[in-house]
Amino acid sequence: MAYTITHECVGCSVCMRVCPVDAIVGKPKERHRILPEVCIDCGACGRICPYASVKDPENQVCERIRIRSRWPKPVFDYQRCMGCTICVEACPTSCIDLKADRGTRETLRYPILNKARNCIGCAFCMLECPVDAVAMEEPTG
Amino acid sequence: MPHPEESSLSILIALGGPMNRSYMGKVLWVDLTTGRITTETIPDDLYNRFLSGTGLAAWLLYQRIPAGADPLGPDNILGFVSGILTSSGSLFTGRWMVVGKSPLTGTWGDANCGGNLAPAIKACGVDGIFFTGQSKRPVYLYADTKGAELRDATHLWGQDAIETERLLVDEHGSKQRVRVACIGMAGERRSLISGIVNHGGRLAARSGLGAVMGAKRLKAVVLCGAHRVQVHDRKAMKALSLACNHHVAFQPPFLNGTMTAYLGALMRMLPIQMELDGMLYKIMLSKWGTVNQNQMAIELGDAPVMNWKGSNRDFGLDKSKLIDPDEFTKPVVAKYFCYSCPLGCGGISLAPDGKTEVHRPEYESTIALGGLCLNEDADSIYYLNELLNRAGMDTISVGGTVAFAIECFEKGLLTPTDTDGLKLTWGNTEAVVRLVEKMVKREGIGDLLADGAKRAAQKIGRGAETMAIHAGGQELGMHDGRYDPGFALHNVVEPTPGRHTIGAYMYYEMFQLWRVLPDLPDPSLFYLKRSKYRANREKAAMGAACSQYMNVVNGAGGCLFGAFLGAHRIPVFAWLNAATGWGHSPEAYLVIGHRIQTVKQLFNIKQGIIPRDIRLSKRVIGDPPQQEGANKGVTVPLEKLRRYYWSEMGFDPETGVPTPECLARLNLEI
Repeated sequence: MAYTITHECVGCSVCMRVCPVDAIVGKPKERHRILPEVCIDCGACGRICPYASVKDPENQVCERIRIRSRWPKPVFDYQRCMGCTICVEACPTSCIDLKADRGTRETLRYPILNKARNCIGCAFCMLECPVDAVAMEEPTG
Repeated sequence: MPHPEESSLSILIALGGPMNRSYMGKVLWVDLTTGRITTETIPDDLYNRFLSGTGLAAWLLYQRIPAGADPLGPDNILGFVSGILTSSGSLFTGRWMVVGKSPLTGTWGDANCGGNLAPAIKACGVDGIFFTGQSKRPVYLYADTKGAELRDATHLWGQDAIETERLLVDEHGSKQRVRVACIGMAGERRSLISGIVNHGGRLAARSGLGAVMGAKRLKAVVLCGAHRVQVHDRKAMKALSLACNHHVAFQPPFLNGTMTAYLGALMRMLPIQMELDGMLYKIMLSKWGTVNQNQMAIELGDAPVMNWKGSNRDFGLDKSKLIDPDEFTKPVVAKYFCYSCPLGCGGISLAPDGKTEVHRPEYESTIALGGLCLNEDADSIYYLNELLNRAGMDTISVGGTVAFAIECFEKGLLTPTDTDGLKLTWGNTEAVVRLVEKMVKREGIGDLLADGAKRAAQKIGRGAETMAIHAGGQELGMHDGRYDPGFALHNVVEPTPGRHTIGAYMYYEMFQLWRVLPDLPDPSLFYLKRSKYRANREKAAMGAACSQYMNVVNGAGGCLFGAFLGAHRIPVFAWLNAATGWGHSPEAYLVIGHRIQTVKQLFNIKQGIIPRDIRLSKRVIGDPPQQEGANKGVTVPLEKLRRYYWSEMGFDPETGVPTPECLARLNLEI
């Protein structure tokens, strides 16, 4: 299953720029296409498309979130987090890192959103966390 | 396809997307001779019969490595594989494994590592990456979500493993996750005791597979994929993981490091032993990491001392005080977690410069480079651990080989002329450090020792063979078969000889398989220690269950320490069912484990290794028995045990060759 681009596409290429795995191909001003074998279903193309021309794997038109800085971002619950790094490895844009804390052998390095600008709001970190320690929230302020 | 040496390296191919059964359904084949890269679709049936990880790899390599292949030649296949449960939402399932024909033992070879490579393999859309052939120039494999290509690695050749990883991450990692496995100088120089390095010094160390990678001139594997793994029932996976984590989170205030040593001494003195519950080990592991056992194992007789001829008397509490778990972990500044581990038994410590972060030595390294050579100096162990991590060399085998050299020096088989002036005496820290440095560089005496104790003994001759402690050519892990005869058994019956991470009586106790498989023996809560030295069908059933279960765990990408929690606390079988939708019983999974073990055994037979010819050094089984110390007076009835074990596995009890009935029962139509 993968996302698809409909005939509404005008070839503005904004989706190509946001796709973290270069799964979108096409010439400017022509309808673009998503390579299904490369697409990772992150949905970033659908969130950014100004022409509502991206459909998700369930064939629903994706809802645009106009301002990218308002895309939901991960928030970590350090009471639940156990430091297993699953969220770090789940992130397709490598924007989650471990905070380089130093202390004693008991010290845990917890995940942080290190490169917030790279976050595409895919929620893979939240979906993969086995102890529900990650939530996706719209940034405030 | 263009050869990487000839023209552009753009041989990208689509690797394909994920399936909803927790496996990717494909493996990648890279021919280093021609540069050709292809994917192979793996039928569902193969996963159902062999899982993924070392199971699937055993089946593929058994069929495709020709008989008599030179382990360092183009016919050998080197594979990097992840487990079926990796990236499925399960815990303790982030191990990656490297497989091939071992140049150290000539047998099936595999090595297992945590770090962060396992999810990266699946993120590239495959369950394994297999290398055939041999490149003329150094290359590395780059793979991401779109495909894979070989790239020139001339600029990396000669760099140590940690520096290589840093350079590759800098080169590729602006907006993507970059995960690297590579060799250091030891693998490049084809040291037969070299391994493959990941995440700043985690090693898939055993079986000498670093030399295979070096011989293929494959410097590194760089993985930058982002595919997600789809599972059958994610909600069930999460529920199982939450329940498992509940056990892991249990961490009561505990005794201090010195008390572990006295606890070990007390347990040594008692004539009875208590069935070991893995929760106790978990608590200690969580607090100190594997080094929790340092002194305790010496006092108990579990840790070998002085090239396996000494005892706790030679390396008592006064000499081992600097490896006291509290003392030894003082430089640690944070826990280190492998992927998907909720426990974090690793430690990140600071190098002497106070800035650089390095991995804390593990128990195996500490004993191999410490007590085995009577080296009391903890700082030197930290130094050597980092040196060997950078070189990509197996600390267990290095320690075993250094201890062998010291004993040869003691007996006059090596003289200062042979050792470039080094006085190889017991406990001579400086000499140990210089010797290891020479082994890394293959310089002088180091060249003689860089291929392990067995080969060095063959070159030295004059009876040196009796001092080379190994099983089938591989130095042993730091667990003494005279303390737990299960270690001696698995050292010789595993298709990868000298393996300490599959079975032992204490492992069986911790696995607690009888709680989910009621037909298996349930050990008594208390038992006489001397009962451990009996050979009978119950012991064989325990050993066979360990082999079968660990094949399932390794096929799942699981961690031995996770398995120690006990089968009723770590739901390996339930996770597998929830991830794949199979619905197998625990019994059916053990049959899969049995099948995998049998294929590895067939691999050895195809390669001309007769299982009964795999020998364990006599000293290790108490032949003759020790005169003092924790293991005084004991002898392991290994031959008898081995016959029982093979019989239990359906192999010929005299030769270890699987019987036709066994092959038919396991549906192995060879």
